[in-house]
Amino acid sequence: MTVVGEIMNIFASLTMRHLDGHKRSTCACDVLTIDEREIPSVFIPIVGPNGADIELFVKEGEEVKAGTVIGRRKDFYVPIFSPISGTVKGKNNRYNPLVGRATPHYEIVNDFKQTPAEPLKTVSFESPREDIVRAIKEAGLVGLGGAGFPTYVKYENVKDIDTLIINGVECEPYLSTDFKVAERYAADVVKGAELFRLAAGAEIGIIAIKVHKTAMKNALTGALADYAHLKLAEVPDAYPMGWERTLIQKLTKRSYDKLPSEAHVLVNNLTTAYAAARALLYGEPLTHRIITLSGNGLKQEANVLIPLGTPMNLIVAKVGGYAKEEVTAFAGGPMSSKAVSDDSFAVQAPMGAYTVIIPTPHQEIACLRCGTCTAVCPANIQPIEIKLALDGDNTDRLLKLDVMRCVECGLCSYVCPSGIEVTEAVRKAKVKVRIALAKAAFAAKK
Amino acid sequence: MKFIVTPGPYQRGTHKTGIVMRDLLIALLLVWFAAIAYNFTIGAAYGVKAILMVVVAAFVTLLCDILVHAIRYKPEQGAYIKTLLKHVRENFSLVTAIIFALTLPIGTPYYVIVLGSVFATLLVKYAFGGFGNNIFNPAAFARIFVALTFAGSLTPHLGDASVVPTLTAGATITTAFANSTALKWLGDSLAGLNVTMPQAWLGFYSGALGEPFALLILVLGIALAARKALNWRTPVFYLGTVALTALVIALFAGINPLNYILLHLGLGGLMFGAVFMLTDPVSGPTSPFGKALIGIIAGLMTVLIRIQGNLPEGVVFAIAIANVLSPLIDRMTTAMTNQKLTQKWLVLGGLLFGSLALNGSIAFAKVLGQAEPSSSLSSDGSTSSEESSSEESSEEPIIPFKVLSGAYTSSACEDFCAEQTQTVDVNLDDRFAIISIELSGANTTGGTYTTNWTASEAAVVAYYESLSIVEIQALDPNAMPSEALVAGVTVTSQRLLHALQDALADVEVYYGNAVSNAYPDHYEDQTTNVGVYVIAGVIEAIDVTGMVTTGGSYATNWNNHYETIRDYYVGMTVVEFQALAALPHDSDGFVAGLTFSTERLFQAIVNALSTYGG
Repeated sequence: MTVVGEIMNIFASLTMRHLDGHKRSTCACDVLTIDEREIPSVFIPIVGPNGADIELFVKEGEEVKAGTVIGRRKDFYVPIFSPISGTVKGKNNRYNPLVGRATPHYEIVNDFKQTPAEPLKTVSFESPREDIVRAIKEAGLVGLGGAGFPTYVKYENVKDIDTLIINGVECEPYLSTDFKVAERYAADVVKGAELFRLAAGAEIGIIAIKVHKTAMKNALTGALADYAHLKLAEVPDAYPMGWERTLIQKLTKRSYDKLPSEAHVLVNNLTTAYAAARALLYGEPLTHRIITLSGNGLKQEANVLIPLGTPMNLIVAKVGGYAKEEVTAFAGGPMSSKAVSDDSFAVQAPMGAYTVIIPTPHQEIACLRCGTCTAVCPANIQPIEIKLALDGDNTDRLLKLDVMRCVECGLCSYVCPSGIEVTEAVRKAKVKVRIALAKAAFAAKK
Repeated sequence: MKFIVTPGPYQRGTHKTGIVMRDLLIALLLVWFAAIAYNFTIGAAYGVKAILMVVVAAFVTLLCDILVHAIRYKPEQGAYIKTLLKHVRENFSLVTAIIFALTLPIGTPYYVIVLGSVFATLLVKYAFGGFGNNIFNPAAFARIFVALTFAGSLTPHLGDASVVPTLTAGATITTAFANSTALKWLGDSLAGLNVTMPQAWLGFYSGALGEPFALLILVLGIALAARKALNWRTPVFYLGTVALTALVIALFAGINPLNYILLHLGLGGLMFGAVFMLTDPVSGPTSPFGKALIGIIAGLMTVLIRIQGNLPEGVVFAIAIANVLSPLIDRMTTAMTNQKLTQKWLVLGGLLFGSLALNGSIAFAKVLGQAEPSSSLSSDGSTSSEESSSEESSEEPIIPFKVLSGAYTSSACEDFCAEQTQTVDVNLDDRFAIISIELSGANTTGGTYTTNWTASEAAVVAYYESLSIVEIQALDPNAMPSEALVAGVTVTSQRLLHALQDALADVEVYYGNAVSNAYPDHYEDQTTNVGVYVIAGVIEAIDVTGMVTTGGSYATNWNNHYETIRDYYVGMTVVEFQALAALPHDSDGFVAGLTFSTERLFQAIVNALSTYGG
């Protein structure tokens, strides 16, 4: 974003933009812990993300302990654990933000004893690579930075990786869970980083954080002292600096087409690294996480440590409730999340935040073709041209505009001076393109 | 508890279109204030007109906004006044109005401003869909519209041009500079044109209302780019292309490169067009590559029109061409912005090279072709070609327009001379002025006569070459002037005169003139003098002197058409000419837009030939 950088980028997009972070208050204050006795039940979805089937190992009425495997996803090998000890009361339909509609959940009634189940089989830094990867698999680790992608898939059949990156950038405004996890559990974060590095077979591991995060930097630097192959790197305070592609480009100057492994790099979230250390070295499956509750729609902002499966409305009530009758709320940050229509959903592992804002009236005027959206798109596509092609129902042109590369980061709508819903237009264009490609594939098969 | 669901993202930037337009408006107001201040130094009438021009344009544009809203309004949109205010606020027509008004010279009649504003707002903008949907820049196209339709009315003065010291014969510095040298827009100096180079950049001269303030506009442009009110790529690539092309032309033409670049960048409203018109995002491409590309294309076209086109200025037309190409550029730029970089650089480099090559070679060819005297007459009647032709004649032979040959045989005189024949060739240019006289044949009997004659022959020939045909015809061989009579070589001297008079014997010269009456507030009485040279009833040449046109674009147009007009008559027999009852309005002899001058020329020839046959 310097003048020189801008001039060098005569044609290409700048790919990032500094946003207001809104993190100061949640970073500065302590993490709230909700007393277990205040949580009568937790709700675990028995349908996976994208509607995948889950094979259930416990039935209604059975007793479970904290860490019991209650089921396993059928699409990928991902064991699902009970976060508390208690009884499986029954099935319960509630809204599931990761699927986008209401799905059945198991309701587990809390017996407040938090009896631990058998710990997971542990490994050490000296264990062979396959054992480490198997331990990741058995721990049911998924990407805790929001994606929820099964972690072990990245490390199975991996080849020629020379760099492992731990993504502690947390570029979404409002979120500060990675910050808190690093601040409190730096030693475990670093251990998890080392485990991932060994699992990947990488020469070096880089923990990436944003500049000006002093507490994070100090904590991690102290913990990194004993690790010869790990180091800390600071990246600019811009969005979406934490997007895989942008981060890899910044740290290694490499680019790739579809997967980071093409660039000999693997990336995992910082909180996932922490969870990996707890599971692989101490046998503790993931039962709790820190999430950030913030936004001017809440009476109080805080980071909260809660068991997975806690209904959000309970957490909001504990934190002080909503500031206004009408709010816009989303499970995640303001840039890449979708608004929810009710707050009864249960917290799942990949959810790092619940942000509530007081909606402001939105003014939209004519596009002035300034091209700022194109000049800032991290995926290097042309949002305004996509919108114009969509408005003109020109699917042929859409197929040429690389629409599917959009990651819905929201920057195009953010920068638009006319207040146009550009990101939404590109989302709609993606649907059109998917349909067109499916039709073409179907026609080709005939 | 109500959860409002809207599409994300839920955080938006604060740099809005309204702010962009506000920044542009402030910059335009600053230029306008400078124009008002400058015009007040000329006179109160000028200052007031400078204010009113923008006010009228803005007011008319507002009326157009109201009209369009009245047509489009539907009650379900809301309250009438509220929707009207929203419509006016969101269409930003005021910016268009001010830009358009600032491109017009002070003498523009109010009705032209009104028509132009209506054209810009209703036609170029609203007929295409209003703000954000217009393909063409409304101010640029309105400027072209008034330039083509009301060319004569766009004067840089309010009637009396002499009040404005920075004009040259009623023409702006741009027009005057464009025509100041034999080749259009190929000079490196403002000498004799009432404006100095610093003045040209600081803006203390009269041109269009806002265009003279090149330095101020450049500074404002940098500020606007820093505030992201315009994209820096377009003006930088535009100015860069013009500067580089000017540099290459200057090197080919052998003129001062720095001056030439400063003249290109400072004159003709280029800065104004670069900052306020070419950068209009609505009428340009959306991608960063496209924005750079139109800068180069517009630069190429601006210089091309300036050095090779008919009009003194090419900026608005270059902008129009860039607008026309923008949709195509967008259509073809589908790749991701970080892909095909080599291709993109090659396109830019190729077009830049094209500008340098095309404009450079045109300039080079024109400079080489300067061997031919270009008989372009400037509006005060002086002929610049005579100087150039006399310079040129010392370097290379000039092909004469007509050669008249004659001979005279002097009879033998008792004892000291034999019968001798002197042959002469009189080489005439297209105005039947004598270029040179060539002698052949024996000159003298020999001996000292030859020596004396040879020593003086060149001077005698030079003397005759300095005379006109009429003057030579009037000489009396028995009473010759001393310059033609070589002492002691009388017979030969007389024989030479006889031979010349024989060569010119058939040439009849008719003089005449015609006067056009003054057009109050526009121009004074003008007189055109002609000398018509007739041989055997055929008009062989016409020499034109005296006021030809009023100046400005007329002068340019006249200079470009004069030769064809005059040559329409040359070759006609006198009988055929006198059979023309009146000036034919559909012939090559008539030039649209120069009615008075063409008719006056015709009338002058009629008057000259009125004594034919008598």
